[in-house]
Amino acid sequence: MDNSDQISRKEKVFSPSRAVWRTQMEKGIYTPHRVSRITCIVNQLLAERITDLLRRIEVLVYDETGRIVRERIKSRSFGLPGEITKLESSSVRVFRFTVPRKYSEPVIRAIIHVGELHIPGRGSVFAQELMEFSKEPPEFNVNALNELVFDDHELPLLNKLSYVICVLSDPGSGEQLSRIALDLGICVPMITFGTGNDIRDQLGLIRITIPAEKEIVHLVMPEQDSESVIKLLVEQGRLDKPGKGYIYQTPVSLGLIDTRMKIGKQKSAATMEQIIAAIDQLKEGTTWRKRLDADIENSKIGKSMMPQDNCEISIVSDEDRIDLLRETCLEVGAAGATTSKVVPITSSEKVLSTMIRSAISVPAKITDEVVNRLLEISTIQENNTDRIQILDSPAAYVRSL
Amino acid sequence: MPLGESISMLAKYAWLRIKEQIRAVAFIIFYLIVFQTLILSVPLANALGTAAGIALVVFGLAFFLEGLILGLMPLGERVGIKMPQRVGIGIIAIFGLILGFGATLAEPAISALRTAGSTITAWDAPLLYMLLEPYSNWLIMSVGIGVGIAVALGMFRFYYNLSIKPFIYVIIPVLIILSIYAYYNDNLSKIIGLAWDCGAVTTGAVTVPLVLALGIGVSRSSNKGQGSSGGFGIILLASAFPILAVLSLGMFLDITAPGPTTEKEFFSLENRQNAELVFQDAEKLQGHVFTHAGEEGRRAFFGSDKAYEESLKSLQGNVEMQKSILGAMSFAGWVTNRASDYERGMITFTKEGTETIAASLFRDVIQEESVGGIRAVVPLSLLLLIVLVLLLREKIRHKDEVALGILFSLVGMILLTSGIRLGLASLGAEVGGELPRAFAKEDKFIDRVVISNFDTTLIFKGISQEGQVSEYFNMIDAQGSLTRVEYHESRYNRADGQYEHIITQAPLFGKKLTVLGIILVLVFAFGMGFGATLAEPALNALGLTVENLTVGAIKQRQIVQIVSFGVGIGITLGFARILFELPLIWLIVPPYILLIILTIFSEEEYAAMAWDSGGVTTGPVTVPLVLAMGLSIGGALQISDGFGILALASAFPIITVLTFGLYTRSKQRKTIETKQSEITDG
Repeated sequence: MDNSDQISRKEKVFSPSRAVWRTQMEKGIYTPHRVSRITCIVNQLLAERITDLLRRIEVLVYDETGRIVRERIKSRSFGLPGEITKLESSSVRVFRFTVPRKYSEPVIRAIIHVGELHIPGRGSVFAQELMEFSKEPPEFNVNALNELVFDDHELPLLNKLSYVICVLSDPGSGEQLSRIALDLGICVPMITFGTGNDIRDQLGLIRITIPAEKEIVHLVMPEQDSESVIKLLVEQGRLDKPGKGYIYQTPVSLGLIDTRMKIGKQKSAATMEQIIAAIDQLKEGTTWRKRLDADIENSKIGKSMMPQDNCEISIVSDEDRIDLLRETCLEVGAAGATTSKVVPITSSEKVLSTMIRSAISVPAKITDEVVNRLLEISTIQENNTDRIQILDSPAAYVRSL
Repeated sequence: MPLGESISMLAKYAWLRIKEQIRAVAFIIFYLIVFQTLILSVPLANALGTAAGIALVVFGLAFFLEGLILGLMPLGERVGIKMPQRVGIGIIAIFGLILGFGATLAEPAISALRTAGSTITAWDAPLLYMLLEPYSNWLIMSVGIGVGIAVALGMFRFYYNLSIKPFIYVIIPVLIILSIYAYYNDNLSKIIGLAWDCGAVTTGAVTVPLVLALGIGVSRSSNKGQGSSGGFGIILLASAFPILAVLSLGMFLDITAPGPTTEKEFFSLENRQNAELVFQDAEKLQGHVFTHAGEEGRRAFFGSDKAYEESLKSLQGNVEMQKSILGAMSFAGWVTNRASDYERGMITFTKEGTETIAASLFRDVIQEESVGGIRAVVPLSLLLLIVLVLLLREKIRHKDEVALGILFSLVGMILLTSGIRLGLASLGAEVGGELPRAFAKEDKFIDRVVISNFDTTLIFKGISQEGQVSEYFNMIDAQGSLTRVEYHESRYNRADGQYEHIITQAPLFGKKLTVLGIILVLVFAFGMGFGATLAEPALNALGLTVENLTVGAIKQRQIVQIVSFGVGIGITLGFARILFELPLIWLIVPPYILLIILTIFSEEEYAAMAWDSGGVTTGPVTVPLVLAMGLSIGGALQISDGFGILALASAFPIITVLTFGLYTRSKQRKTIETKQSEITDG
């Protein structure tokens, strides 16, 4: 644990995670650790290189399968004039792990080096600062990291990013939302699958008529764009209607984002993505990119749905505990946990592999209580692989039933 | 929740499922109907019954798939997850053995194979006949053992996280070498088709999804910190081991079995001991001589002409005897299809009106299929439940959903198989029955009409452009319409004043255009294979699993279409084999060698998935359709058996899926491997 770290950098009036910290420190049963969660999204074909690196630095990684969607531009067939744009998916692997905060940057750089992620189209990696409950502080082999010598030039990493997560209920709507993100040129969207039981649990057998499967769209974008993008997505995805899904945003402290949104036929010497990446590097930031105008902010959605101050709680646990977890969440009024299957990657053999990661966006006010209850039922004292992570989420658009 | 809202939710849910299945069967039905009415220009018989059957198929598919998703697959996955956590690999392997063996008994594909082999003659292929008839239980057992070993081995593979590729590299060459060896043995060469078909059909519509779910569970739970994993590969093994088992059984029986011989020699009195060894039953031997052999064989069987003629005469009047000798074949059917002209002459027999479909047919079919459905669904579900509750001491999650799911699968299975028998298969058989006309060189015998008190003065003459004179007379048929009929001197019996008129049907493309006919048959075969596979429920379940595991990077519809395309190619080649009488080995060895090469270059999980998709293609929809057509064409060409089509139908999808995988990977490579020079340096 790294105590020398500053408490939240954010100048917010109320930080739910800070409240949790205070409560739990007072109780003294569970010790929260201040860590950085690194999320690394890479093409399936590069997964092995990354897992080799992560094994070497001995972190416990949770691996999930997802896909990213890009636009492929093709000439029309039979020599017809014009072009067609199609969405094309490719499999990616999502690696999530936590490291002490001060090592987040060197670890990210190591990943970029090993996976050559500075080449657009290969993947993204970013760090988020959060608070984590686990049996031990995150394992990490500093020496192994120091042994890796890079002769790379200093690649400027971006900060002031925002990680937007859309949890959608209608099958196929992930693709639709991805298209909007791609058309706006925001970022390369990633889609993962999850299950969520929000209203299903309260119904009888008729629940089988509502799909439990959720599509989760992950977007990483410049922070200053996030608010207007979210509003646009809420409007386009009809998320203001009940039962369609919800959307929330969490802050990213540092990262490198895949900018290759289009593939296929190209007309110019450099793609727009390459130019953007180059300017991002020159300006050492993304603030220059803000361009979504005030129109969206004045749209209907802006008035009907106000962003809530929320908190993202992620729980990594054995699959068997899913029912208990959902019940507990419901008891304290936190509905809508979305569960995805993850596989731990570690050098130790003694791990359960049927693990799940449940993410839940709860209102800031009840965060403290939810965390309290979750800790009570959790098995983090016994299981090395269990995690509860708490992360402030300043803008969440949740339409409850 | 208010009732109205529940009903609207339920209606929306049901409609979505049914719409999906309508889409799945639309192609094959449209295709069959277009083919029959436009190309073969034969009107649809019993259109209403067929339509009802098709409706049953749609509902059946919808129920069955939903049942799999709700009940059987989650149950299978749960057992798979829990087993490695609670019990050792020994018990898991035993469970796999029981499951594989039980699944084979529960879904007896053997009846389909028997149909395929119903035209086999014991003198041509005594060993094949032995396997299908007197030793069919041995055949089922050996296939069951093969599947059992395969499932156990699959569990073993997941438990220890072994690569699937070495399994492929060992078993496929072994199968190829054994088949080549068998090819050079007169008796064994006949069973190659059966053996490879056994591999293709054993994995049924319930077994596949169950084994798939189980595999995913075991591989998830045995994965020790290795990252993402699949769950494919068992179906491949379950298709390969039965081939091995059947070939081995064949080799064992070959020690005692007599070799192929001519019809006359086989039925001769000197050879009676050998013949009875093949049949194990004297009555069956006599039945075979009537239902499968020709006049020559029957004469040899009875030894003397007198005994032969007497038994023919006695058969004519004795209904009991007809039943015991001809079995399912009716006497009328025997006379039209089997009897020689000489024998037809000996028997005075007039054909009765076409048999009308009994009203109770519908009920009978559903009753019969209910038994089959219960056998296929209930024991396997029970096995899983017992293992989960008693052995693993786990609670069943969402009991109501699981129960509903099992019920849905059961209902779906019954509706589906009944619907296929009542609708799809009869439609397929109708088209299949007409198809041989497409390439036939000669007129097809339809019926024989005897005109008594024939008056030769009614004969008139006609002349062709070349000056050739033919004789005709006008005949009034049963409907009262007048048709001109060619007169043949030889058919007129002056003694009793009877004229025998043979009604025939001309070949579809005239007498010379057989190449066009063959192309038509092959095109039809492709479309039928493609269309039937689109509707195959096990394939749809596999597609769904693939879509989930790849988070939609590979879509269900995509994989179903690629596999169906492969099946189409396979079935086309299978029919080409029948038409041109190619040895099956020529069609099996090259694709499998290609497959091994493709596998070397493919990714582990993708290879396992591709090989599995080969095993799921031949299920309740494809098999009856393909067999109906294969048999009618084989029958028209007097070819011994319809085997091998299904084996090819499971080899080619593997090729298409692997090729697709390599193509997508190379495309992905291109995306991530932009050259270093293209990168802008900051």
